[in-house]
Amino acid sequence: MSRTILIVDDHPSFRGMARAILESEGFDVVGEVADGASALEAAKTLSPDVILLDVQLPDIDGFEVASQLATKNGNSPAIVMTSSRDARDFGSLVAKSGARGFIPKAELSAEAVSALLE
Amino acid sequence: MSRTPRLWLAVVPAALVMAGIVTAVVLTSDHQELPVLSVAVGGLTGLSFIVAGLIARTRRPVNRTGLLLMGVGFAWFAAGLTAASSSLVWTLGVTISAVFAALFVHLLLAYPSGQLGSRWERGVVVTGYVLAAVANVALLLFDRTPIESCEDCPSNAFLVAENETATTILTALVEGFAAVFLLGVVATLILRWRRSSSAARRALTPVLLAGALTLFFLGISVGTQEFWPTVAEVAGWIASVAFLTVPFLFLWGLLQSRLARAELGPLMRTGYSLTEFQRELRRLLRDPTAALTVCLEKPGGYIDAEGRPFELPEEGPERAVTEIADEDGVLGALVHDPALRGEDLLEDLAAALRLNLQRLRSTAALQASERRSRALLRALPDNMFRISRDGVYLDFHAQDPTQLRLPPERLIGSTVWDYPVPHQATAQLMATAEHAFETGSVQTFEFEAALDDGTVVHREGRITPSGPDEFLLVTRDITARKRAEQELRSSEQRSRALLEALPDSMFRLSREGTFLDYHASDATPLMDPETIVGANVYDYPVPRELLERIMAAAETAFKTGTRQTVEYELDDDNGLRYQEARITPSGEHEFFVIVRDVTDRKRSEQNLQISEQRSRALLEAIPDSMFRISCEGRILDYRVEPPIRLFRSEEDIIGSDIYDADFPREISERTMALGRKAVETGELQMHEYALEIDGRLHHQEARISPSGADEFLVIVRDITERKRQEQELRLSERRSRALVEVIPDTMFRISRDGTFLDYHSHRPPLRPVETIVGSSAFDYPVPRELIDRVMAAGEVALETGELQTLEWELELEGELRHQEGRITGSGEDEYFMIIRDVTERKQQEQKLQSERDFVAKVVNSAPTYFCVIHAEGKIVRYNDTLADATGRVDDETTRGRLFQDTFVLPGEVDEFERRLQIAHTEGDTGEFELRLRSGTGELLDVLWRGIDIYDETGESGYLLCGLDVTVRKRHEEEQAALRRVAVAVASERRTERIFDVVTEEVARLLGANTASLLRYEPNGEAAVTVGRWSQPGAYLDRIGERVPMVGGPVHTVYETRRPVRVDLEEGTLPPEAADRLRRMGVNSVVVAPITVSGRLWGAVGVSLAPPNAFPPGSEQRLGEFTRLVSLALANEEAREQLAASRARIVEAGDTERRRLERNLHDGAQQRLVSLSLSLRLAQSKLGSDPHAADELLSSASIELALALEELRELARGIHPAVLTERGLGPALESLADRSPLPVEFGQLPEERLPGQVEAAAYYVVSEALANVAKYAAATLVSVRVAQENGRAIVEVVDDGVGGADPARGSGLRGLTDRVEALEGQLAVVSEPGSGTRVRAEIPFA
Repeated sequence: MSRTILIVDDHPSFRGMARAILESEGFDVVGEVADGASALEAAKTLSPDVILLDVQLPDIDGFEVASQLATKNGNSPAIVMTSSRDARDFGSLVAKSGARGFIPKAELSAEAVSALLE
Repeated sequence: MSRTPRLWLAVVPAALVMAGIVTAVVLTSDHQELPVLSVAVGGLTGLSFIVAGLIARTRRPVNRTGLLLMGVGFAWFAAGLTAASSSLVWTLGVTISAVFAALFVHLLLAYPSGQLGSRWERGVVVTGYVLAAVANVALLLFDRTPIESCEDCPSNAFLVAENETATTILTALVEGFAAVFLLGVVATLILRWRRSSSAARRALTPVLLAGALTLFFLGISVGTQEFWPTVAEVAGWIASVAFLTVPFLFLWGLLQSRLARAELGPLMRTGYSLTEFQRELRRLLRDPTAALTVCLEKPGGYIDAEGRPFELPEEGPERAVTEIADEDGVLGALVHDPALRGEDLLEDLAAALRLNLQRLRSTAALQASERRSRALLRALPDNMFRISRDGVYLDFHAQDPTQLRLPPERLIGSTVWDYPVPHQATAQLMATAEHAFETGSVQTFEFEAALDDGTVVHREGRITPSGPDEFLLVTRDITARKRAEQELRSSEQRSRALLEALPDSMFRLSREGTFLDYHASDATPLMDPETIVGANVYDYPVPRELLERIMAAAETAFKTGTRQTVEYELDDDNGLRYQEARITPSGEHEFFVIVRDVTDRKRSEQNLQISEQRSRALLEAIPDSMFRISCEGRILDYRVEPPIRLFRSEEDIIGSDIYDADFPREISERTMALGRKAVETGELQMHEYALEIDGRLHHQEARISPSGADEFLVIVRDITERKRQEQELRLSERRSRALVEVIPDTMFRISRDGTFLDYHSHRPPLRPVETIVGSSAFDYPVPRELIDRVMAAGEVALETGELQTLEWELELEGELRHQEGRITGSGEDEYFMIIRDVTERKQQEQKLQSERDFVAKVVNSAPTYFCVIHAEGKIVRYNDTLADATGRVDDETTRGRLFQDTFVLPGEVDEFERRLQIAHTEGDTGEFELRLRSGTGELLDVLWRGIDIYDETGESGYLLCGLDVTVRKRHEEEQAALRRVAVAVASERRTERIFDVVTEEVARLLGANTASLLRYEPNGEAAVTVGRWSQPGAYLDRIGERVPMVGGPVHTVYETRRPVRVDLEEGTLPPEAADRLRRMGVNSVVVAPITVSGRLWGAVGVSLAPPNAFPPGSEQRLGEFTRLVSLALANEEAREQLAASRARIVEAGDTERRRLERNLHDGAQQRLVSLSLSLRLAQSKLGSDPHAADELLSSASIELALALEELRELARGIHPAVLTERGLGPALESLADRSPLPVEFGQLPEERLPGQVEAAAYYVVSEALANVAKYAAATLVSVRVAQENGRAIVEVVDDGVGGADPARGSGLRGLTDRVEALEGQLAVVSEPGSGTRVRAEIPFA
């Protein structure tokens, strides 16, 4: 069974491109939302396996959303995406937020997501 | 038959007939009232006149008085016809009824001579007759009843035509005229009586009085008849009674003459003296001026009753002369009042005199003889008294009895003690007399006596016993001799005065004894004049002892302030010389020594003493000699006292010839000639001559007086000594004159009343020399004020006997000269004035004074305080600078006070006295600071130093010099305070702390308890406390406390922008502000504004609890300091602004970066991420779905183009490439192209500007255009960029709504920061409704 995934990004062109890539590579994109609040709500209703969170959201910071989605056992569905390729800028923040990991947007792939899930 | 009985025989019957007719008429009258009384009175009256007239005519047939008296009597009877009952007779009576009155007037005016004296009197008499003749006739022609009161009178026989009007007029005229006429007659009589001599009055008085009364009442009677008949009647009766008395008074006068003649009998029998005879004569004649003269047989001529020659006066209206002669010729004459002329009494007297005159002539001859013998006594210049030994005057002879001190008639019988001379003189007289009795020789003594007129006479008394109990006192006036002596002394005094007033040499010396100046009029100084000035006094070549005396005297002069005189002798080449040095202080440390040679004065004093002794001895020894010589030249008698000598041998002198005397013949001849003249004239003759006796020239004076018919007396007195005295006097005067001649000065001798007595000058006088002596000083052509001063000084000199000195200025020959007048008394009523030209000395003094003035000016105008004090601190004086600063005038209220009590603050007195102690030992206080309270209450900081000096009185003390260092100290304090503020600004990061530092420094500077720094709110509603400082316990505002603007000092400063000093006590504050200060426990407040960058920033205030605690000027001081502090605050604010600006720039940069990051993230980056994913997806589909891959690649290509565009846009936002590459103009045009509004360009730069300037300008325009597009609702924007004076001017102006606020929004703030970072300025003017103008000025040069 393919894994469900929620895409949270305020840019529609990126959401479309991400859906196309992920679906083509086997993921089930169950939802797309453009802001943090909608993400939290969709996460409750859809309970996706993976939530791809853009760092810069119009309302709530992506890390903040991630920290709210984090679970005690550490199996958070959230994976943070940024436009930057330099992970050093966000390493500590990702760790603090309890997200699964960090994927630069330009390197988004099912493989990268799966790697973080394992 | 003689004429007299014939007259009686003719007149008496006529009178009786007349009386009978009138009696008959009256008694038969039908209208006469009281006929019997009328007959009695009328008859008596008429007959009295007629009988009196007969008697008068009988006694003096030539005198008309008798005829006039009879005329009056007959006319009186004729008037009685008015009683007739017959009309014709009555009318006739009325016609002539006034004639008696006219005759009566004639009688009175002609009395007693019977002749009228003057034309006036004749006129009056004629008028009377005319009036009497015409008046009644005229009336009778028109008046039916000419006598109004008589109703029963007969009719008027002469009536021509009754005319009431004419009657009334005529009656009034006649009566008025008659009354005036009669009163005029009375006045004439009174005048005549007043002019009469007393002898004439004797005869005139009774008759004229009665006559005048008659006429007076007659006048009243006539004058009042018409309107007051009763009065007229009474007056008529009085007039009648007075009229009746006239003949009786006339008869009484005759009777009196008879009585007087009866008194002559005894006179004729008694052997009266001539004087007594004259006295009797005057009494009998009642003429006190009557004189009896006797005609002398030999040598002829008249003598008066006193025996003096008498000149008979001319006969005239004043005097009459009645000669008395017998058959042998004229015996004498009576000189008497002309009124007595022809009186019987006079004739009787002459007859009586005739009998006695022979005897009287003998007496007169005897008197003349006596007079001649008395001439001898008179010739003696002396008074002689015969006095009993117990002092009673027995007899005397006086040259001038009126000069005796007792009336001559009282002298004999009175005692010498009664004689009013000083008791001492009388005692001396009696003692000398006793001595004369004891020695039997002549004794002399001298005494002074004051005459009634105050003059003092000197007399010499010679006493010789003239019997066992009586002596002769001969007193001689020696006033002339004494006066000569006095004159000599006066002359000497004048010379002395002259010498006294003449300073010879003058030295000016310092008190220490250095010659400062030298002046000699003629004497040569003992030192070389070139080297005197500057030399020490002890180097002067005179004995040191003398110099020490002079210096000691100078010290005395300084101490006492009086002139000192040192007299001394010097033995030099000219012999022993006497000199006098006068020492006078001049100024504080100098004195004048005036040296005068007084040798002449000394010698002349000695000579005078010797001379006086000699003359007195000689004068005392000289008695007189006397000769009696006949007119033929025989010596009849003599008494000779040496040195008078008549003959070589004195034997047989009596009877010898004067020409044989041992006299030069011319003296004898002269004596004889004068002797004969004396005998001829009876007058004293004098002559003086000189002759040699025993080889010595003697001057003698001979007084020659007749001593008999052919002899004379010669009294010879040796006057050699007097002559010598006179000679000496002349010599002395010549000496004075010679002395005067050598004086270089002008000399006046002036009497007390201002008359010039003498004058001498080498200079041309101000008026001709010959007119000066004798003229009044007040006529001298110099200012009157000067003359008054000289006269006043002369008066003082005479009263005090001290030399007076005057100085004045006078313009002579167009040049102003200074002169000095020295005035000294030279006699009792005269003084000398020596005038010296002291112009040169004055000029020197003025130079000295101007030097002193210069010093005084320097001292008084210097900013330094000077004060001279005594050692213990007493103020001697101080300069104007100190007086001005402290407001205490240098006068008697401060002089003598202690400096420390006057100028030193209580807390600093110890320091001052410690400094004085230092000065006592070291002569210098060293520098020390004291505070000085100024006249306005301000405390000044003064740096003092005292150095020892001597004051003008020679007392040691200190000169305190004070320098006002207040400003310097304040400056230093302020600088220190500023430094501390600046350090705080530099080191303190917290602005509050800096504000606290400022307040602390302000409080410290002004000595305040608290200080606050307040910042005005922008709206001016309050000031907020931003800094504070206070003494512990003082009230303190909280930081941030708002001080409301309720009219307090902070509000005032806000309004006025000026510092202010407020005291609660002044009551000028509004209640709310005053309450606030009270709550704070503050009474005195000073507040000053703080202005930063030209705008009011806030205020700083200081306060003190006591009232009036801040002195005036505190507000200025605070204001000045606050201005300096403002700079520090401005720096602080600038620093704040800079920090804010920097923060804003950083913020702007961050914002910009964020915007870029966002733009990149949201734009190009997202597109590139999407593109990357899209390419990767296309790649994956390339094999399986080429169509999909192709679509993906097409959309990727579009996406890529969009990304590129966004990147370009982004890059333009960072810095437009067109600006970098093409410059400002194209860049702005590019902006305009993208602007939604039309943009109009004005000037644009043709050349490139520095890059950052271009960028700033670009962004100003860019931001402005963006704002216009967003807010302005404008239709047009104009843009201009110009270069002016090295600055780029950027202006963007729109026509929009305006009202833009540059403080809001970050766009304009960012532009401001950008422009200010380039040291430029950005201004936004945006009044609502007027569009917006953004203007930036950016320097680039």
